[in-house]
Amino acid sequence: MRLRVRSVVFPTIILLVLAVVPIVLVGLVPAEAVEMLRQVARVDLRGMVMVVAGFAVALAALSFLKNTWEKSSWVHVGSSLASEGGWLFLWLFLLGVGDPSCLGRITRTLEITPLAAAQGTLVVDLRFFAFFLIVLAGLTVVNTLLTFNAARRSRSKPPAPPIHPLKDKPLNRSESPPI
Amino acid sequence: MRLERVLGISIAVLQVLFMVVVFLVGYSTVATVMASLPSGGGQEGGKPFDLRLGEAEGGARVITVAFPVHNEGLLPVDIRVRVRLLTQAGVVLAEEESSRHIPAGHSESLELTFTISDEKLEQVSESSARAEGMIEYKTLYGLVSASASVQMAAAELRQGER
Repeated sequence: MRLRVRSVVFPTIILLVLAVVPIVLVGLVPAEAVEMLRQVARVDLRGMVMVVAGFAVALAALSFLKNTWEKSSWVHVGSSLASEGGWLFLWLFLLGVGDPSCLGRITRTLEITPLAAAQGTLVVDLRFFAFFLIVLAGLTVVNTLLTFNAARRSRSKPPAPPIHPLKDKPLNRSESPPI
Repeated sequence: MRLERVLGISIAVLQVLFMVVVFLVGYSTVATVMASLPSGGGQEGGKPFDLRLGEAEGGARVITVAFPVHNEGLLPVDIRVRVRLLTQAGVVLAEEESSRHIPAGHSESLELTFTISDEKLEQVSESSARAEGMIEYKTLYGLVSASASVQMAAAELRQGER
């Protein structure tokens, strides 16, 4: 895909998937369900969606920068690395249901309203996914740097000297040299 | 092929694999929970478990708690349930544990049976005694897990029983 097309298409997809669609979907969830989730599991769904929308704007801007500049430019490599960091942080934020620092291990105290004297604890262990994402982010960073290096090397290489059609003709040893 | 090209393809494959695994785990978990909840499981009284009281020889009480689990997902799941009755001081009066490996598309019932003597039952009946319940769910061959534990006064449990 051409750079100009990618710089428009990718940010638009990011904004649609991470900002527009979640805001519309949360708007369709009944207010009682959102409130119950907040009370029982202490998950602020609306707040989370707004944070994700904020991330979407930042990631779309980085995607625009990344796809506007050539692979050999410092702007491209900088925006690629920042974008990768942003995606990793966003995934950890979603896995931790609002707390990226827990690295996929969520512990919540449950409020069980019908039983006043009851106390509950919910532990969700998604560390496998967090580990997978960190490995993936590490590989992507290495790949970005390798691509950047290769692009710079091919750019700085001196152009091949022009070949004269007759003068630089490969020598045929079977022919006797002209005297 | 250049190294960055090989790495790029590997990253794309891993990203697709990640999305597939997230979908499988998410779908299996939601499908199992929805099918095992009272509305899906069809337990009476809106409780996610079935409580039966009986009497053994010698006057001891037999309490049976059954948790039907329907694995409607695409991955096998492991379920472990533990119920304990404790005094205020933390002395365990009764403890039972059960675990099952449930393949995808199968249903199993986890049953815990307690036999409590009259003497112990009196201690449970005291307002200070408490009950502890724990349910643990594992999928993706133990790599993803969730557990919920609830502690309540025995009096609350007896209220819920009525």
